[in-house]
Amino acid sequence: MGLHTPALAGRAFAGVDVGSQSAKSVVLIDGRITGHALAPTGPKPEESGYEVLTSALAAAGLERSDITQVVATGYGRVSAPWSDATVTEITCHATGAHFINPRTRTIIDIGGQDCKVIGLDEDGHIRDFALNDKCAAGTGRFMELMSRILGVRLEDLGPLSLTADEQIAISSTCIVFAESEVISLLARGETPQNIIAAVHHAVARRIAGLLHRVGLEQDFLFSGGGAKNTGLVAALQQVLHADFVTIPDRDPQLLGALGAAVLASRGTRAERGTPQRSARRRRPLQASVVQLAKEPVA
Amino acid sequence: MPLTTPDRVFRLPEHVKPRLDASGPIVFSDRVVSTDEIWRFLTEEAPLRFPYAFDLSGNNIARISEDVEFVSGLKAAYLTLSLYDRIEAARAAGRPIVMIQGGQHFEPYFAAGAVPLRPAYIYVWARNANEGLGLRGSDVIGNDHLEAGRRRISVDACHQVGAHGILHEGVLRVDFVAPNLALRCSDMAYLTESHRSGTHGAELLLVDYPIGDAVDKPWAYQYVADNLRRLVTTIDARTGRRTTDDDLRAEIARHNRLRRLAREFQDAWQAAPIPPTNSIDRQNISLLGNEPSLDPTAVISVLDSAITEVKARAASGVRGHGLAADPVRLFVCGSCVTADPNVVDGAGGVVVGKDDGWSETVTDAAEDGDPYLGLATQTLSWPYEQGSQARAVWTAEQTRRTRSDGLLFIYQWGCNFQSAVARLIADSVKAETGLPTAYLSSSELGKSESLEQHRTRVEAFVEMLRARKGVL
Amino acid sequence: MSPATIDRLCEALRRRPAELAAARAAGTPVVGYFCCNVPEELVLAAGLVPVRLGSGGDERLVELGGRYISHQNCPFVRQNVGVFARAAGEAEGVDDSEEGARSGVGALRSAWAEHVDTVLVAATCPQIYRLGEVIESFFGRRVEILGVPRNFTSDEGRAYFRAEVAALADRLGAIGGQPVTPERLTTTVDLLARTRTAIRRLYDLQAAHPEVLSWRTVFETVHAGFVLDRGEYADLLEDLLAEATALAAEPVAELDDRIRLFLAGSVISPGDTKILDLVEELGARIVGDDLCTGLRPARQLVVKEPTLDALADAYLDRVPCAALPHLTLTGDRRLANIEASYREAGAEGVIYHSLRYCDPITFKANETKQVLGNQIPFLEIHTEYASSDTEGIRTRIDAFLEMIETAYPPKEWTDAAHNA
Repeated sequence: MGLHTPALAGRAFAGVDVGSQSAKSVVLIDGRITGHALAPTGPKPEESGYEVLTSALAAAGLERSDITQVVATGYGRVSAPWSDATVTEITCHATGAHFINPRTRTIIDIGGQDCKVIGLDEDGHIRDFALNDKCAAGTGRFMELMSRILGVRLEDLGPLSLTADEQIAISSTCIVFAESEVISLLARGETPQNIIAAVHHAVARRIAGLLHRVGLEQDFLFSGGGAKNTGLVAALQQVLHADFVTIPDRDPQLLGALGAAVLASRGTRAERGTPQRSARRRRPLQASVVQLAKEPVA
Repeated sequence: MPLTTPDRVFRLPEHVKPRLDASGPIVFSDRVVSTDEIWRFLTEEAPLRFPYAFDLSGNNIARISEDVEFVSGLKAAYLTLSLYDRIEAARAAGRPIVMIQGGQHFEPYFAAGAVPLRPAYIYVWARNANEGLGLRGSDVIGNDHLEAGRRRISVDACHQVGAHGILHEGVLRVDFVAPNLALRCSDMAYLTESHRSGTHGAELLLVDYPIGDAVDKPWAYQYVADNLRRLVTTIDARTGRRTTDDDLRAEIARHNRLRRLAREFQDAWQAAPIPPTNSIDRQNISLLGNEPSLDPTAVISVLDSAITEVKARAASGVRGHGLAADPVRLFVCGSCVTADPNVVDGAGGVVVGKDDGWSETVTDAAEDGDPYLGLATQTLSWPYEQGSQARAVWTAEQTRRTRSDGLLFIYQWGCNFQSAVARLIADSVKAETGLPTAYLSSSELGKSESLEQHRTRVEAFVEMLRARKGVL
Repeated sequence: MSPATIDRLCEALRRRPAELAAARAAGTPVVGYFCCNVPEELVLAAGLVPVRLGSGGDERLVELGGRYISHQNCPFVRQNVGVFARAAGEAEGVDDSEEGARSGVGALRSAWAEHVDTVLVAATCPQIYRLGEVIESFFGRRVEILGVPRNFTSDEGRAYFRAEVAALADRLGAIGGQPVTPERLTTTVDLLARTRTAIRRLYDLQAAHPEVLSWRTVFETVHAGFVLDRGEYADLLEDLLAEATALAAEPVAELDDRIRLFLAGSVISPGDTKILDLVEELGARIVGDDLCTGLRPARQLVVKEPTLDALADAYLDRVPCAALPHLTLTGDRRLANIEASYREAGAEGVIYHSLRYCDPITFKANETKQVLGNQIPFLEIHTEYASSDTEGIRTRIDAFLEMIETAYPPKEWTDAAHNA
């Protein structure tokens, strides 16, 4: 099946991003995407990651042994024994964004349980980043909840919201407030399209809050599942007065996996900023010496 | 008479006009506003400029009272709806605008010729700069300001952060952010500080409130007095005038009169066997006792007519419009928010009192001696600003005084200082009076889209009180 | 190799509850206090035993405390209401079998509350004032309030605080303390000055010589000082410093090149190890802090003469808590102290940590970042004691370390402490 040719040594790399909702993988040969895959994350992230890696390899016509290095990222990275190194999704998104468009200065990513804003410098290094608080307002999970309450399929939220005819104020402070406001509106017979448009605006304002902390600098790149929602894209463009770049011809959810693959391809160089750095940093833990909190008291 | 139109928009019926005329004009400190002008404003100008205020939807917490026969309520509405024009006129006349805190005193600002505006009035000012807003448009603008403030400062801040957001975003400019801190709110000090890195250039100053029991601490009174003196000299430095102790004493006398009238109104209202007005009118008139609305003289004029009206109603046994035949009497305490009066009335209750807003009117300031020390002494005696044990004792007294059937402690999102003692006060009042008490948090009161949860909780409590009284 | 003095500190901590019980039996009241604005010199000079209260990191106590105070209060305040609830036997329904028995934390934390006669609260943070009200009302504790002026840089604020400190001296007398004489005050001022000096030097030492002392060891050593006999503690600190200094003179096999972080923000109390654990697990190390439970109270506190006024002035003039507003950016000693301590510790990034509903720290996060973040890598973390966000915080810290590694080149090793 696989090429198994020595000619691929040092040329094929893979990245795997195991997120809270979906697992993504990208395979690079000579810096070009030759395979990718996307699947829901199951109850065992370790298996989900391996399966999506296998799918991406199959799409590229490769086997695991053809790959010089695999980098894992996302929440599932902590249980990815099939990977060679792990890097956070923040760094992977930055790397992926710089790979796609070196002029990217700000990434907005709306994932399943996090939404994040990452500021980049001209070298593609992270200048600053901010993630949502514990509250899920502004994340994919929040949009899922809204679609359930409104009885609208997730993928229909965007197109439907573009038909709204009135602006409504919905709180972006807290998912619980927003939910209760939506239920109040439904109880009063408000139309779903107006409610959804208001929800998109609330999410956009939430993201604007994160952007405020990191700073607004073009070009913007919008990634994650949220970038597939046309209504949300429109709301963000309206709130930010800016246009976005998305990943050309690819699913915007792949950005983290792409960045992981790019980092894997650089992994042969042992310098700061490459996956090897984690080995340098890892030190045995120092035991708590005074153990103030751990000594039993007679 | 109830006033209901198919589209639920408030309109004044012609037959009310003679009543309004009979109650007399509103006397402002610099002019007299005739009843013809009040009528014209409320029936022609204001409905066009501020349609949201005339929306009678059930979800409009700030809707105008439908008790059109109670013409003092109309006058109070006139004060609120004319606020924007009066702020702009004061600004054009060169009076410094000062953002202060709700529930503090006003005398030093007026004495120094400034215009003190609490956060709610900053909101009104910013909203009414936009004409033609419906309820929903008003909500959208209010929400934008709220979220601007939260974005800049924190989502954990209470909703007064919106007023600070208005300043931060440059929507409006004030000359000073100079509140008294009092012992009601822990956000205000931090929110005032937040303006130091703002770009709007307002001068910042805090009049501190010494935390802990001030009785037997002459230095605590002196500290507040010194802070107040610094406030006045700071405003004077901006205006170039010199505010004398006599100026301040005169202002204290004017506000003492205002407070006395508010107490007289409350006493007359409470003495009536049948509640003589609905909850919203009682609340709006009572609040005037500590909300001079840019012109204490005008407020005195409105309170005068309200007292006359409420006494007449009490004597003839008139029941407030929209109240049940035998409403249960609810006392509300907690943060600077209250139970939606329309919800309470609709469920068969009536709000007979609220600690915040009332606490500031129960004591007068000395009209002789050092006026700064007089104000400090008065402020430090306000029951709402005492330690929670003392405050609970006072709150229990108020429930007796108002013949309340139950007590609700309500705190709003972000108000961690009041929420901290919700159980303490509710439990203490219950132990002291045997009344049913409850405490609940409200999320975004004042925004019409989030009322359902609040409504359910308040209605359930009122239903419980009714069942207990055997009137359900 | 860890210094042997640490064993003696641990031993002293184990002995301490019995000592407190003995002191009370002999008629010496124990004054438990909240907030580092309580002038401990005064409590000592009145012949009373001070214990600084406050623990963190235990979600069960947070939940217990939340029954009396509200869920909108910060977890530190909620937990410490929970501590007093448990001390009052009000822990019904709180599961403290397994986890509690394993770590022994509950037993220890309640133990200090149980040994306290009077609770003294400095009203710096309004929520901690509320904590005092709640434990007074629900658990019948005697609570004394020390007023702290918000206008703390003004003349009138100074006059007020001086009067508050003088009144506190009288109230300490009323609860069984002796009159505070200049001689007694001199002794205690000197004692605590020794303690603070030793703490500052230990901080310098850990920044330069992690192979001898970790920041965590020093941090926990500071916490031991909240409860130990102050004289014994000062001696132990000086012994520890001497021992560690000697150890630091020995050659180091391998240079410690872990990323050096500075920890700023909300209180991190004994038992609250979430962020410390993650930083260590991710292979970085903390080299300094501006915490009120760490270095900050040991910095810039100078009592110029043995008088109550001078004592009050010293507390007002040191690095303030964020709960005290400063209306200009210029002259804000809190911000200046973060930057100075950061530079002195040779750190490479700041973790600014805010506890949920800790308003002063949370509301100032944005501004602090704007002021410091231009020059200093800055990570803001908003958290509670619950473990539910541990993985999310791990990702943030890990990404922050990646950011420091890639965007900021390694620092030259230049701090004075190391060269010394």
